[in-house]
Amino acid sequence: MELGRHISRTVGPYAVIAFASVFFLAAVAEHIDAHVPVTSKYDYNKDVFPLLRDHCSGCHVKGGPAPMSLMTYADAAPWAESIREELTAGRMPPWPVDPTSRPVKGGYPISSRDIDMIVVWASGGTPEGNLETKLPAVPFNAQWKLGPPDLKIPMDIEHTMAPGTIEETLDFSLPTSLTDTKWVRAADLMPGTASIVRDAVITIENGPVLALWEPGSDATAAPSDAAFRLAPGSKIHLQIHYKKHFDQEQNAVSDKSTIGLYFADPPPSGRELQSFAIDRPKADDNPNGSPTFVGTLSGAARIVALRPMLDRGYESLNVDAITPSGTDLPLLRLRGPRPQWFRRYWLQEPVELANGSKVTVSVTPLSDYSDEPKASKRFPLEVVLDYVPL
Amino acid sequence: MSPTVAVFVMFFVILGLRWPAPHTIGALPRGSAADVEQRQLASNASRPASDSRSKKATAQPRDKKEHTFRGTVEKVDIGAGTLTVNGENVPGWMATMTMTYHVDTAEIPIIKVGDHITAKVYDGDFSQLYEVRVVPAKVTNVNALPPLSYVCNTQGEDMAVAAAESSVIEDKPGKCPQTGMPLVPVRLVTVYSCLKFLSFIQDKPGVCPVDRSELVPITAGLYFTCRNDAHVRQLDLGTCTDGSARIRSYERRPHGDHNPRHGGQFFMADDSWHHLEGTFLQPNVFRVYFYNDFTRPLAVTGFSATVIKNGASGKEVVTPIGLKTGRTKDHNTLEALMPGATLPAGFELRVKFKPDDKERVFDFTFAGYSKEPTAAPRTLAASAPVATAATKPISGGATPSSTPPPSAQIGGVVMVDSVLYPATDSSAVRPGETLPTTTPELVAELTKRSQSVKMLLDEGNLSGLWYPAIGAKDVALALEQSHINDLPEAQRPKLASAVKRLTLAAWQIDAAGDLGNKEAVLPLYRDFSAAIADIQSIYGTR
Repeated sequence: MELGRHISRTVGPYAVIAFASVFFLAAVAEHIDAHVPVTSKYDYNKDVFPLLRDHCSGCHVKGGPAPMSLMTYADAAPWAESIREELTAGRMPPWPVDPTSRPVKGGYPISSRDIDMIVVWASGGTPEGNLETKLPAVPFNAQWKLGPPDLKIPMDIEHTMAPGTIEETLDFSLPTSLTDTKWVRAADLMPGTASIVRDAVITIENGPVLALWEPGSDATAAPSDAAFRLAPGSKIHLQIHYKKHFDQEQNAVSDKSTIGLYFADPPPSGRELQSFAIDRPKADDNPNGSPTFVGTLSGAARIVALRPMLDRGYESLNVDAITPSGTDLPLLRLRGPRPQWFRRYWLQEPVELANGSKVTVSVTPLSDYSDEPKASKRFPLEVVLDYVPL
Repeated sequence: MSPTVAVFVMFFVILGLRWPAPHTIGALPRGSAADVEQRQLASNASRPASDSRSKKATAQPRDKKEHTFRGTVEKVDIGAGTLTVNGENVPGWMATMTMTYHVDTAEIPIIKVGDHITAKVYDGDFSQLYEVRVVPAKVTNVNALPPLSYVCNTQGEDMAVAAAESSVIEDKPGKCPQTGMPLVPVRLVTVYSCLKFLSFIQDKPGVCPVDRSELVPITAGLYFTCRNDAHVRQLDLGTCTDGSARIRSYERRPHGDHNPRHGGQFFMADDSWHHLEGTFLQPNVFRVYFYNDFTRPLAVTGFSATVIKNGASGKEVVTPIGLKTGRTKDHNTLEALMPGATLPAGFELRVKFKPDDKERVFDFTFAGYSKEPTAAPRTLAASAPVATAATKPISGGATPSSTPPPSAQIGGVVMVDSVLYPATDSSAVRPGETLPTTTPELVAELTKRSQSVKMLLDEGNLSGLWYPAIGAKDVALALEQSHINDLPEAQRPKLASAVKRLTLAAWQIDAAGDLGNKEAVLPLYRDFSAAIADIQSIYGTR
C-alpha cells in the first residue's frame, strides 16, 4: 500500500519523541547533594560530553528540536536517569540498523562501548570531572544538509499552534510552479520553528514519497541512476507533524517550514523511481505474533531503498529477498525499530533482483510494549521498496 | 530568643503510596467552619450511644512537657488509626516534616485529607497526636506566598554538625546554634515528586510522567527563578532581565522526603543524618536500606548490624544474626536471612554507623512481605504495595533493652553469607575485577558469569543479578574492543551485534532486578542468554 493514500488531515495526541514524552512537564529544580555515591569511572567533561556531542547534538542542543539540551553538565545531569533508560531500552539514539545489516547510507550508530560509558556515568553518580575544563559551546545549526536546494517551496501560510494545543498533524498542498519536467534526487525540510516540527512526509501529490523527514537526520540523495520524476504543474504534498515542548504548551507557537528539492539529470534509462509495498495481511494483524509476510516482484528491479512503516515497536524487523533460484539476499536488519521514527533507508549498494523474486518481511514484537512512549498508529505495518525497473 | 534545635528521634511509616480520595460531607466549602461543624455533627451522630469518646481516648502522658502541634492532613487511614500529617515546626519537639501518627480512633471520622489540624503532643512521644482538632480554614489569598522560615544551610566536613543543624527551623532570623552562621530564609511548601525520579516535582498530586507511579508528598523549598537564567534564586515574585515573570521552582530540603523507596518501613536515627528503611523479602530476607538526610543512598562502609527476631509475645531469646553487605548497586544495604521467620514478623535491628559508634535500636513489624512500589497500571493487576506500620517508636538515644549486651552478642553472630549467596556466588566475579587477557579465557569467563546469572535467577535472587550480568557485559565489551580482530571479517558485525544486545540486556537486568520484578527480568534474560549464545557460537565454543 502506498503511503500517499493514507494521508489525511489529523489533529490529535501523538507521542513522538521519546524524550519529550518521558520528560513531559518536568519543570524542576533539584538540590544537588554532595553525598551521592560516585561509582562511575567516567566523568562528563572528559568522557561523556564528547559522546553526547557526537551522537545527540543533532537534536539535544539549545534551540534544537529536542525538549532538552545535553550539551553542558548542568543541562545533562538532571536527565541522567532518563538518559540511562532511553539508552538501555534502545530508544536513543533512534538508529535501529543492526551491525549485521546490509550497509545503508547516513545514520547515527552508537557503539556498545559508547553506550556503556554513558550509562556507567548516568547510573554512577554523574561526576562532572575537572571543573577547570572549558567545554566548547554546541550551537544548533539549522542548515540545508545537502547545500542550497535547487527549488525552495515554503508553506503558503504560517501555521500557529494555539495555546493548549500540544500536538497536531496537518497537510499542505503546495504548488511547484514548474513548467517543465524535473528529476528529483533528494528532498529536505527546513523547519521554521525547529522546536515543534517533529516529522514530515514530503510526497509528490498523487505520486511517490520524496522524503520521510525527521529532526537531526541527514538528507540522503538517490543513487546517480535513480530519481523521482516531477511533472510540470505538479504539487507537493507536505504532511507535517507538530508537537510542542513541555514549556511551550500554553503558548501560541508558529511555524512556516520550507521544502527544498534537489534536481538531477534525467537517469540514462529514463525510468523513474518506483515503489513496491509489502503489506502485512489483515489476518496476521496480531500485535503479539511474529508474522512473516511476503511480496513478489512482477519485474526485474534494482532495489535502492527500503521504508518500513510500523504500527508499533518491534524487537526486530528483517527483510530478505529470495531469488527465483532460491538464493537468500538479506536486505535490511533492524533491531528495536520504533514507529515514531520512520525513515527511508538508502542502501549503500543497490541490489538487483530478478523477475519473480520474493521479498519476505519478518517481525518480532517487543516483548513488553507497556512502557514504550505511545505513538499514534499512523501506518499499518508494511515495508515499501523503492526501486528502478530493469 | 536563641534558635531552637528541634532534635527528633522518630519512627514513622507512610502507609502505602496511594492518595486516598477525601470523603466529603455535604456540599459546604472544604475547611469552612460550617463544613467542620457539619462533619463533627455527622461523626457524633454515627457514633453509637454507648461509645463514649472518653472510653476510647488514648491516655495522655503525665509529667511530660506538652506542645501544640499544627499541620495539614495528607492521608487518613481509618483501619490503622493513623493520620499522615505535614506538620509545622514544633520547637523542641520536631521540625517541619511529614510523618504518620496514631490518633484516637474516635477522632478519625471527622478528619479528612487537606484539613488543617491542631493537636497536643508530648516530649518523648513522637508517634501519637492527642486531642486532634480540625481548624476552620481562613479565607486566604490563593496567590499568597508561604511564610518565611529560617534554617541552617550548614556545610563542611563535620557531618554531625551539619546534620544536627539541618533540623533547625525558626520563624525569625537568628544564628545556627553550633556554627553561629546566620539562619537563611526559605519558603517551605508541600509539593509532589516521583518516588524514584527525584528531579520531577510539581505542586499538586498526580502521576509520575517517567514511571507512572503515584507522586508522593515531600517538603521542599519554594523559590523563583528565570527561564533565561537558572542562577536566579529569589524568594519572591518578580521580573527577569528579559521582562518575563519569574517562575516557581523547588529544591529538596533535608528531611523533606521520608517516603520509603522499597515498600518498607522508614526510620531516622537520632543523629538526624542516617535514615534507614527495613524491608522483609521472600524468602525471609531482612534487608535494610540506608539513606542520608536527603533520602539519598548512603554507602554502608563501616556499618555493622545485628538483628533478632521478635515473637508475638515479646522478644525471642535467639542468637543475633549479623547482617552482611547487600548487593544493591548503591552499596547501601545490609541484609540477612531470617530462618523460620513467619508473618507477621517482628525484628529488632541494632546498628553501629562506625566501629566506635553507639548502638542504635530500631524495631520493625511486617504484616506481609515488602513489595517494591510499582507503576500505577501494574498495580491494578498485582496486589497493592504493602507497607505496614512499625510498632514501636525509638526514643532519644540508645534504648535499653532486655537483650544481652553487644559484646555478648558479637560472639554469637551467625553469618549467613553461605545461605544468602550459596555456591552460585563463588563463580560470580565482581564487576570491575581484572579480566583475563586472552580470547579463550575471556570466552570462558563470559560463560561463567552467564551461568551465575542463570543460577541466581533460578534461585529468585533478583537483586543479585546485576553483579554477574554487568560483569558479563564487561567481558563482552573487552572481547569486542580488544579481540574482534581475532575473528574473520565476516564475523565481526555479528560480534558487534551480539555485544550490543548483551550490553543493553545487562543494564536492563540490572534495573529490573533492583525492582524485584521477575516478570520484567525474564524476557531480558532471554535476550541476554541469546546474545551470550551468539558470542559463544562466533568463537566456536558452542
